[in-house]
Amino acid sequence: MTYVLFYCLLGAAPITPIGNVEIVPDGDPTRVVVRYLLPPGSSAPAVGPVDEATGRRQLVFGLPTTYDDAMPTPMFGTYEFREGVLSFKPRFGLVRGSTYRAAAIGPGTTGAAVNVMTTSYRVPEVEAGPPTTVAVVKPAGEVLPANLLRIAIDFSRPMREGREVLENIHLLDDAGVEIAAPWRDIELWNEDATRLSLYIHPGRIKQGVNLREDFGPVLHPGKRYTLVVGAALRDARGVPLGKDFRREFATSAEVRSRIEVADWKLTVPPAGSKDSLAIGFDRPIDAYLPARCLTVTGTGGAKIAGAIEVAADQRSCRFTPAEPWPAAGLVLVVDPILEDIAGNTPVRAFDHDRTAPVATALRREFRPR
Amino acid sequence: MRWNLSVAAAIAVGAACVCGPLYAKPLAKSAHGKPAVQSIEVIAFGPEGTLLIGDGLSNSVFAVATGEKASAARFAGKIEDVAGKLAATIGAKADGIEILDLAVNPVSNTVYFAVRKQDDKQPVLLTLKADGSIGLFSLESVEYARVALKTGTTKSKVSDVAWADDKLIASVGTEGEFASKMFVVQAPLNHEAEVDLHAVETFHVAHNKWETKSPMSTIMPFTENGKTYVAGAFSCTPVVKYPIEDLKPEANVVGTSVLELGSGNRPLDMFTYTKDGKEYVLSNTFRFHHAKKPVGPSPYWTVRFDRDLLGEETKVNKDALKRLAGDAPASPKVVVIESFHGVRQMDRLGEVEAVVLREAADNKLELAVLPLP
Repeated sequence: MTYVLFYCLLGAAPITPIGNVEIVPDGDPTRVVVRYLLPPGSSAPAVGPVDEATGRRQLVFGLPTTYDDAMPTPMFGTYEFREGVLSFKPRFGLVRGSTYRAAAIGPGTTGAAVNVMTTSYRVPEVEAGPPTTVAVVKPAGEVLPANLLRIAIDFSRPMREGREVLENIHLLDDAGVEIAAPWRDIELWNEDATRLSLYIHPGRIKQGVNLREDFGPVLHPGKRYTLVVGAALRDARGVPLGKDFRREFATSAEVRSRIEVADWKLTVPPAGSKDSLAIGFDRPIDAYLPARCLTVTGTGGAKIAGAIEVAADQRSCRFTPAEPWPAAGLVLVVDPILEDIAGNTPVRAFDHDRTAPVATALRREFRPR
Repeated sequence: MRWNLSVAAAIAVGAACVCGPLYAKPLAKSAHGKPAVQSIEVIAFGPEGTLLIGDGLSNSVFAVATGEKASAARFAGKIEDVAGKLAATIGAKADGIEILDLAVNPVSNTVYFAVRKQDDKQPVLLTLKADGSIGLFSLESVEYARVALKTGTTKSKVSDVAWADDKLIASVGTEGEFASKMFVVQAPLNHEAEVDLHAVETFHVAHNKWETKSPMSTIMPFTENGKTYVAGAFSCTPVVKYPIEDLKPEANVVGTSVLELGSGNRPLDMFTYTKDGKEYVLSNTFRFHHAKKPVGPSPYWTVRFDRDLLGEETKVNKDALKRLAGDAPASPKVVVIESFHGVRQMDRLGEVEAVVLREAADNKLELAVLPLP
């Protein structure tokens, strides 16, 4: 802790000693209490909570400014006066790696004379540890349809959200040239900000939309592309990834048809066992939606408890029951929001031809053997 | 982003005669205390200065009584490096916060900022008063109602909230599926009530043939010939309207495109205003193809269009008015406003001004008050 005295006397007023000021960590190093032992002669506030305007006349805490050597920019917080000590608790946690300053304003400070004592507190940096990495990118596979809609990127730690995210994720063509504006500029994170759902701009996928007509599709069939997650992307601690992540893939023809549930291959387990029901899809399905969108019920609609696990290639999944299978007729129920990796659902293709019928087959019946 | 004009008219009527205002009270059964807000993605205002908070992390919209008194005083200055100044009040530097939204309480003219502190993702509401002081709007002890959004997921993203006459409307996207739902809630709002809430999916048609789900990024209620609509904008440009009466439970609603601003743009904020007896809509827009074909010096540009274009019934969808005919303006009804270049966020401030966050020459954000064009 460093103490600096500012006796900037423009007039001839005598210097009045300033009491002690200290910044005390309050458990977590990002939480502190600033304590100012008022010197004799100070105008002491009434004991108890002190309003912010009154408190700031004697004690200011915050980040240093570039225009005033002594006075920081005041933070929001709560003041209290007890036993001769004016204390301040910042309302918000301090930022790691930053240095804050407390300025105690002593008696005799007027417009002409500034009688201030300051002390500083540097919040320790985040603990060193392994850098955050890209853990998984979905969809899997070397070859993806040219009308690929969504890419899910899993990180090993929670990430920092905001404008910089999409600025640090790039798509390169087979010559290594960056494709301009490939993403829908909306961030969608999961609950703990470890998974980013990234959309290739739908306006460049949808048929008949002027964005595609003016700028063309982002991906063309029969080409190679590289997804690059930039080294500068920061995790929630503010630490950059440190190195680029790259994932190459090739493209095939566009898939513009709805998911055909009737074409799925079910491998039915024996009754009385807890073996999995294997479900072979008619195409790669979104990696995460089956857990939400596929359920097994009795013919009366009672839900069978169990867990869905999607295969790495996203072409199949397994439903494993919590209890042994009954020897009874059962139903695999498909939520119409289920999507393949190009945004087609079991009800309608991503671009639905208005003259085409809407599918209604959203169930498959089976009976454990 | 703003309360429907017809509501303001209703208040004016209510004030002028003995009969009460035509809109529903914003809150019926409310709670008092600290709402469990987990994120603040968007903010807007409803009647009586009720602050609407879109919180996708908790799948909620909160309606909070601000209790602010009516005031005609408005901030009139400019704040350079406004992100730095807002951030410092919560102990962060300019790049340590993200200003997610800005809205003006039409009752008090106080400017509200929805801010995320980046290191701990804490949501914060800061305010700017007419005298230029930056304040903290505390949610520690407020009167509020929480509307739970049944999205089917543990987390969603509220892209916009608005108040239309006697309804709260929220546009919500989810992480897993390509869709966004519009939630419509009948006012007055009841805390934790799950009644009178329904969701619709919005669709768009191209070339009268292809119909696709179209997530809405911005919504703005308006009234035309006694009928209330929601105007909105998709990620890929057109300004679309939906009659609010079509927003019925589990309906799939196809919007009508009334204006095409040009490909490669995403409207961000929209509000209506009247100048010299004529109604306009002002919308700032992010151009994601700025590098290829810029509209102005910044990817953020602003357009003003005649409000009557929203009432268009015949020249719609593929025949809708386009801003450009070739490279030239197609109509004097749609004008690029150069004085608003660089505006990232904005809201109307009183009747003749807008408060904006815009890119300054030093690449920092500045807050400015601009006359409405």
